[in-house]
Amino acid sequence: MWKRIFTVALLMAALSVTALAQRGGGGRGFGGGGGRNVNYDPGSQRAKYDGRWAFVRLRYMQGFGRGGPEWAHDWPDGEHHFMQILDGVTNLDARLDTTQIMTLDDPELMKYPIAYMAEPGYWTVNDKEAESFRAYLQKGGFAIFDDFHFQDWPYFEQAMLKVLPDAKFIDLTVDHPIYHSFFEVESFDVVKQYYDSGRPIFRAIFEDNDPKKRMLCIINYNTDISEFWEWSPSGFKPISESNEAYQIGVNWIIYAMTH
Amino acid sequence: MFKYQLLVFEQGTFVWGVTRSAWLAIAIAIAGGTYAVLTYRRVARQATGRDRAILMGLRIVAMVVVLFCLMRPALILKAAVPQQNFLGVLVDDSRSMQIPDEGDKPRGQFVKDNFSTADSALLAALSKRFAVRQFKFATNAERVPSSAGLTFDGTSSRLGDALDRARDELSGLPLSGLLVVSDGADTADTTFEESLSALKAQGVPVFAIGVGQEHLAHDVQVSRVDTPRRVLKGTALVVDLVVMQTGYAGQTVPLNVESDGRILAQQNITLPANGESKTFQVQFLAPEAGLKTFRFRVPQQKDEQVAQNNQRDSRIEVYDRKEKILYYEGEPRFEAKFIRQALEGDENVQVVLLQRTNEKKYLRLGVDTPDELLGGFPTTREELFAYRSIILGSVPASAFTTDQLKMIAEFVNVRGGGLLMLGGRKAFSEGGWTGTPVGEVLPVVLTAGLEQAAEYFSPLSIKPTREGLAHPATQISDTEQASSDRWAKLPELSTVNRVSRVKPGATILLTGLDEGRTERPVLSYQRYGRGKALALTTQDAWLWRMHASMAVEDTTHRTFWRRLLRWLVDDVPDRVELSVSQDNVEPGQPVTLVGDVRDKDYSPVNNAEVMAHVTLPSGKVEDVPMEWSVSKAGEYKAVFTPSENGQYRVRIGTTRAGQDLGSATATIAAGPSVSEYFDAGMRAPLLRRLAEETGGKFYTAKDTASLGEAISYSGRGVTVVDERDLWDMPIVFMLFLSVIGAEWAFRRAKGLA
Repeated sequence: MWKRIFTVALLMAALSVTALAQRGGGGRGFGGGGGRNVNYDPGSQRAKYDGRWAFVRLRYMQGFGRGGPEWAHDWPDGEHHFMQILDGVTNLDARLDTTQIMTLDDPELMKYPIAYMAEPGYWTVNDKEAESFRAYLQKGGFAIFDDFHFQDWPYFEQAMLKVLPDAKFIDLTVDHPIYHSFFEVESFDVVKQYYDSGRPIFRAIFEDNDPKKRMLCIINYNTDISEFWEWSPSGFKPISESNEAYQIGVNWIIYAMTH
Repeated sequence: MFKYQLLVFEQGTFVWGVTRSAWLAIAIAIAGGTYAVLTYRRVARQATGRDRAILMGLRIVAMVVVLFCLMRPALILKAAVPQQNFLGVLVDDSRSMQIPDEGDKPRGQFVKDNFSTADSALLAALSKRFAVRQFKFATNAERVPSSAGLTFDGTSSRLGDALDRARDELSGLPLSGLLVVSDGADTADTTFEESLSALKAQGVPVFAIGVGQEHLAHDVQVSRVDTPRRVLKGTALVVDLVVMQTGYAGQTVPLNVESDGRILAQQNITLPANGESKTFQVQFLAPEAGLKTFRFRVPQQKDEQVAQNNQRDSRIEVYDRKEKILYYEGEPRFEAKFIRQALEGDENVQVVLLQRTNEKKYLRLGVDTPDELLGGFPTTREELFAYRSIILGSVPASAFTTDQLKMIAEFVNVRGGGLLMLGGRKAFSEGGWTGTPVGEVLPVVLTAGLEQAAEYFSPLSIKPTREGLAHPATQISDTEQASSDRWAKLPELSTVNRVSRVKPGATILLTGLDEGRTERPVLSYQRYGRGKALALTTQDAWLWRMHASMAVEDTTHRTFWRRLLRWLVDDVPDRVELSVSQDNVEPGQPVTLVGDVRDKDYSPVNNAEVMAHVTLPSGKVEDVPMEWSVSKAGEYKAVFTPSENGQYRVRIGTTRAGQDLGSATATIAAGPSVSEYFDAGMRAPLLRRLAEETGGKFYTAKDTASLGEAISYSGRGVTVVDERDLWDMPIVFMLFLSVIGAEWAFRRAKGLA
């Protein structure tokens, strides 16, 4: 039943995305489409807080990328598509008129307790950012790290341990409640990317490194969930895979809003 | 000067005792007046008109004095015949008579000096006139041969009972009156109006000697402490204390809260002006479960006369169980996450989250069983009423059936639960709650037609009201001042609900200034039926945790929610409740047990079998059957009288047709009362009223010289008429001489002599 509703929603989203794409002209992301002329200045994306959650993409210090800043990988289509799906299948009253780009030490970040970071294998963090982001996570913020490859783990680990020096990375299994908070996700294998070798790995950091306590962040390693989101309307990805990627994303948000 | 004491003039009836014809006196007066006029005519030439008038006036005054004497004025008194009448002397034998404020000596010393032996001053004087019968009174009154054996250790003073006892015992005898020797510290639960009426009806005058000072020179008193009867373990209690003092105005003294020999809280208080009372708030945690005695104490100060009234004990049942709150959140949002986070680790408050994630899909968190809330929001009263409180998040009224809306209102009104509605896009007027049964329950005024209105948003700068600063739900720091400082530093929140006023009878705890600088209610509550309803109009209290200005270590958000939700579940009744008319009594004092019995849907049960099992301090159990009171549905009553000192545990068991309906417990402490030491100054107004309303007289211990005579002239008992002449009072003679002398001096001065 829900799968059917979801598929319908997905198709509707695809249609609306097409319209968005036409309106936006060439202003698309850096993902598989390569670098184009986009304005990724956080200030230009800033919307006034109105109590609703908006998708927040974390902008970090510039590394060496693939034709654009790594933090912006899959931006903006990835989140635009995802937010429309989220709006379609849940009654979460999130903002569809904007998505946000924020640095890790932006005080406004605290008003959006769920944030997303792409390509964390390129992530470098200074002391000020580390301190601010640590406070964000410790107070109740939830971070999603997505889209990094097998060989990038050490770089991510190094940056993350600067934020949370005592953090332990705990592998999640598909029976974790986060994969059942809205949709019933039964396998991670569906969201495997063609350019990553091996299976997707989902890890998490918990408060006091205790899996019974609050999850501070989820780490999608060796896969790229937002890649599915970005390309779902194009036909470039099979619907079943995009479907699963959206389900995983929706579950993250519902879980993070209640845990 | 006046020949008699003032008392004689007060008690006597004035008469003219003239035996000759009044005409003769008038004739003499006219003759005298004529003589005076003629006399002064002769001096007309030498004197001015003014001088003549003065001289004539003086002469006429002299003549009036003579006339007054000739008419033989007198006072008629009914004097008691010596030794023919009885006098009941009621001596206070209570603890307060030990207070050393009768010139550095205890009040009881006055009794010993004046009433203990036949030679004692006052007793000897009274015995010459009356047959004296002495009574001592404290908790009970009894005849005593003398006051020599008084120990002044009675734990209460029941003046009304004592007057009744003496009146009864002396009825039928010629009684001149009753004399009460007391500090007036009547600690009976009831007033002595009935006793007073009986005395007035029988014409028995009561004379009173007030012993002690009306206002103690040096005393600090914890006059009152208001505590709940029971409280959930771990709750931060904010308790009001009323402190009064004399002699230490403006001084800062410590105020301790102690339990089981430990100091739970201490704060310094600045004492009010002499004779004035001031209310202080003290906050402390109820850390351990069980029946706890909390002592609120100001240490004895230098030179303080009464130390026993520096403390008040209060017994609170600290209960340890999980209070379940059903939180129904209509849309995924951060308020749910952070409320759960704030309550994490709280062993006594369990928030069960029913998170609606789309129109027909729910996420259930914190449930006890796999079936709990499986079908969404409860559809039966039995299921809903199992919770102690309900939180409604951003969920529209249309998400409920009509019966569910009625059930929520009954949850508050009938079940006595707490209801909290949170701000949100689908809450209050914007959620279509106007005109619903739940809208009636809420403390805020809702507006119709806002469901479809344009979205509203305003930041809110929040501060507590006067009530909020001292309220257990919103006092977020240890003291009122610290709480006020903390509130001032919190970041602003926001609202999407156009709530601008509360209903009559509602109390606002937090207010907020919106974008247009208009003040709006933020947190308000009202009692509704047996329960209470709260409205918190913000949508993002979680910013008190997440905001950039809030430190990671800051616990304000957690404290706020824990206190608010504990208060929400505080005092929510169970299906069976038991209360006692008094939980601190003296042995022999009856206690009324009152039970309230409800069904699973909390409708009153009138046909239950209710038995109170009272466990005595000795461990023995007494069963006391309780009867339906008839006057109130579901109410059962019985009277129990403790007979020994100690703790009595009362448990009521209820059954109907063999089915268990539940049980409830209460405790009674029986023991010596310390109420004697409170308001320990001599209560002159009470004694004065007693005397004046019965035709007697009030005296202080320092001035009892005319007491015997006053009782003699009370006019009661076997009396004789006593006529006292007034013409020969020295004052009359002196007046006459003064007038004559003044005339002579005037004439000399004017050369008329």
